[in-house]
Amino acid sequence: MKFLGNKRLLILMAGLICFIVVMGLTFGNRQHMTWPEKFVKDTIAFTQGLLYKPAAYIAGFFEDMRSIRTLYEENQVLKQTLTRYARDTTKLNDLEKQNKRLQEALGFTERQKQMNNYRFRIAEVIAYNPDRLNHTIQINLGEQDGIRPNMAVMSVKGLVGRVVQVSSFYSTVQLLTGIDDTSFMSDSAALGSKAIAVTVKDKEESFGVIEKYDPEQAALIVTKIDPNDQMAVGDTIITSGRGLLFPSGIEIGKVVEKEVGEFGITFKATVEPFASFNHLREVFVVEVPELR
Amino acid sequence: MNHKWLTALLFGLFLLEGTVLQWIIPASWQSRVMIAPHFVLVVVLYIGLYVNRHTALVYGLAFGMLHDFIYYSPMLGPVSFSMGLTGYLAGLLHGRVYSSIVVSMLAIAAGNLAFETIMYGLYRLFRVSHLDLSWLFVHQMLPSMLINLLFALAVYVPVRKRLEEMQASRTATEE
Repeated sequence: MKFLGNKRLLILMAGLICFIVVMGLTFGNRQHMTWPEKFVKDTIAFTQGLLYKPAAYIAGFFEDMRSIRTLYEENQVLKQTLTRYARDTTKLNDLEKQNKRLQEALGFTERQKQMNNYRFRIAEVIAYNPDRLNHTIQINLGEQDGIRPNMAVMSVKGLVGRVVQVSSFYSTVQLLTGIDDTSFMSDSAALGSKAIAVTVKDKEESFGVIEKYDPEQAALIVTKIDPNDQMAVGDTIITSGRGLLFPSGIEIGKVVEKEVGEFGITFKATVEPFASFNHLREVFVVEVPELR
Repeated sequence: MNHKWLTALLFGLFLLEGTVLQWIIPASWQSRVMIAPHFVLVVVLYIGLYVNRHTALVYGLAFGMLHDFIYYSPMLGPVSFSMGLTGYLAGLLHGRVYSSIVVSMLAIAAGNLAFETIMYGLYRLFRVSHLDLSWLFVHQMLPSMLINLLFALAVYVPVRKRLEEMQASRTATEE
């Protein structure tokens, strides 16, 4: 054949083998980066940040212009929420004081006391992964700021994802849209997507596991729900914290459908996420004291 | 120093892909259909079509590797491999077919689809993705191809001019 002479074919095959070897070797353990990777990532992430922020600012300006009409109504609602907030704060202070006293009376250790003392670290998004096979974003907090893999990441509306990889000053977040538990990756210990244990707000005895994101419905699939579970359509789904990886109580979404699961033993629910995964500007990384 | 110019252009596009373009592309195009801007790939394909296949291969491999480094993916190498390969394949057309704008656009469209298909194939091979190919084709590959084609059309005249100058100067120095 004219296109592929013997020598060329040989080189092509050698290249192919080379790449398959590289892919196989690096497969599944990219959570801890090597120093050249870190260096390149930090340098480029810095430049990306310079571009992303003004773009977000300008695009945000036009979005604000569009929403100017709804501003009045939004303001009204926010004022109402604020009064409710003030009321809740006094209540919260009371309860917190009481809780502290009770904890002391029961002799809680320092570690037990700190268990639910989450820290919310704000981070700016600096880039999106342009290929749509990996749903990840980059944020500008890294190892130096105390960010570790597997920390939960949320936006003001709800859970958006999980930290999967950290370099010195930046880290990569896998969005909820990238969750796929049928993937082989979830077998290899550290990487890929992880299922998230969830429960229902105000019905904490409910239990389910978010195992995958269905791109066709743009919804999360919660499986392993007990047939006698009280979960119903319209319920708010929150993280349960039982997986000991994620903090508890972060809102995820609303149940839109509940049906019998694949094997007929458990139920599965379709959950519409609260957070939007596009055009993110700021996210919060939730630091759980235990993880440190 | 044409290579300097080309590297700067590709690097600029590489930065734009993950940042500014994410804001220019409307949110609905990123949720219902998922558009993946691959402007670096478009330029690599142009290099293949108008300079030669080896240059395209090298640029494709280099910038693909950069993509693999920067953006998280389960393994190193798939983007590098597919971008290098499609660049090389586009290079095989160089001088073999009559290069009009229509042929170039067809080649770039085919290159885009090939790139996405190779990526998908590798992900299936390593059992990372379980998405259905036909669904992915309609919701991701086809719309992204159209957007990339639009970009290719927009930069066709200046890029072709510069690349052909580059090619001319290269053959002049070789002779």
